[in-house]
Amino acid sequence: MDGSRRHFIPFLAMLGMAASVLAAPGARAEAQHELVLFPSISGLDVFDDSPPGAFDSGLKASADVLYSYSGERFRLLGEYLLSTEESELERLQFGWVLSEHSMLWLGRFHSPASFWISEFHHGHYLQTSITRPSLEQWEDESGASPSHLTGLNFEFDRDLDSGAALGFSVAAGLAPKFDDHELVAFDILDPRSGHGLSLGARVSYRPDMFAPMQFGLVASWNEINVVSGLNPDLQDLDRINQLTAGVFADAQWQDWRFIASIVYHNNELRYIDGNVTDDYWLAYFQPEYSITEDVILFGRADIGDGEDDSVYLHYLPSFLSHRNMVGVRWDFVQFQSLTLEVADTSRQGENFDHESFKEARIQWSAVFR
Amino acid sequence: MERGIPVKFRFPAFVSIAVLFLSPGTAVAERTVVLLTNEDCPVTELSNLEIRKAYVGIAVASEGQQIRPIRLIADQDLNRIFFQTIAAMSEKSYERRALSLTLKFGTPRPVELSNLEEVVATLRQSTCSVAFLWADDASTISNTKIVRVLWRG
Repeated sequence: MDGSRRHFIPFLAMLGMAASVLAAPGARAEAQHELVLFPSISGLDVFDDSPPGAFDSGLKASADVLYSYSGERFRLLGEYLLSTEESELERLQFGWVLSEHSMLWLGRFHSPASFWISEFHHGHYLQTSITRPSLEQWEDESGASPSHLTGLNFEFDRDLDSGAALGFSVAAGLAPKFDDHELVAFDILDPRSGHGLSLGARVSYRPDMFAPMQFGLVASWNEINVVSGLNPDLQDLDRINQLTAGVFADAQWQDWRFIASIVYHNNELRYIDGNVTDDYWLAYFQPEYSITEDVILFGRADIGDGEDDSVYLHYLPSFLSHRNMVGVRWDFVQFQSLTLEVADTSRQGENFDHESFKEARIQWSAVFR
Repeated sequence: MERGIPVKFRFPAFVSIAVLFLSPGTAVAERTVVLLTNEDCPVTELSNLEIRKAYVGIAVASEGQQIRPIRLIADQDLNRIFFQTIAAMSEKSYERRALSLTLKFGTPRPVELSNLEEVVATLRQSTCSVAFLWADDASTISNTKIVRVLWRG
């Protein structure tokens, strides 16, 4: 995000100070530290009549740095994303271990009301595809719903006698603002007022506590205050009240994996002289097939209903309304992979005119610890 | 003139040698993997399910004590037994799960140590840390106790 690059050094200093304090004599002997690096390099080529400036062909390198400290009753988790396009503190959360099964977090975290975001975060290596579904885009990539909250997050996860597990996460915090042409999350390194309330929740059921297969519900309520900036269309718009509710599934059967989510959105746009309400559904379906343990074929369809006529999405011209994609991933050595992806994509565009183009992507991603 | 043992006698000889090598307590000694903890830890026994949960990132408490798993990662045979018997998943699945839990919740991995001396020091330092070791090695470590036999072979 523009302007936040300068915060990288203070962030590192803060993490260093926290680590020194926590590692000092007197800290619990059982304390553990984890430092994980998720680097990636991606190449993008755009064909057809791509919208100028929206999707530039080229290379992008990024490194997601994750640090965690885990003590007897306290946990610290920080995630910083540094790339050729942005530099941003993604998460900084302090957690109290309330019990063997529950934890209370304070800080900036990813919204629990989104399956993909709360499952893969910024760890490119852990997601099979290069791209994210349009439903799960980050705020600064024209995402339509909040993905970062700053506040409190209660998490509960318990295994059942049947061998299954039940997870529950509920959060309350500061929502992003709608600034000019995109959502802008609260920045704890550059705090400013004017953010509304955001509530998010996720319930998940895992039939086997040891396996990644899961099913669940997500929901959120977001009060998104509007800053008109240089966008004259936003001059009379004061706030957007957004309600979302949906389901998700991450299912595995033999060599197949299916990831899917469908979410209903209801937006109330509160103008100075009245309100406008619109609603739409967004969904994605991503099947994956493992040819071998190291080679996976995959595809994804991003679809929706009612989104083409949404007044709210009209204010997000870069929002990806449709994408049909296929790809292949090869884990060529342990913890390193190469992925190819081709897609037919449409973005919302100006004045309800969709802009369609084709993309080809290649990515190297890895994890080091 | 044919030299050596006639063909009709070779097969019984092979069987005899094989039986000799495969008999327990004779040519090949039985090896055992045990789960060890500090003798001050009030836990006297852990089930296989509790041990598996502790090693794959699910919090386990017993007798009011948090169980803290330790791995000696330098021993390839122990690693193989760990993935086959304790974690009961492939190394790739285990690594993905551990990474995912750290990314999502900051969940720490089991403490991974590269030599026996470090394992012994950590077991003594932390009340209810647990480590799986060869029984031969475990018998040489003082002030510890065995809470489960995990594998025999």
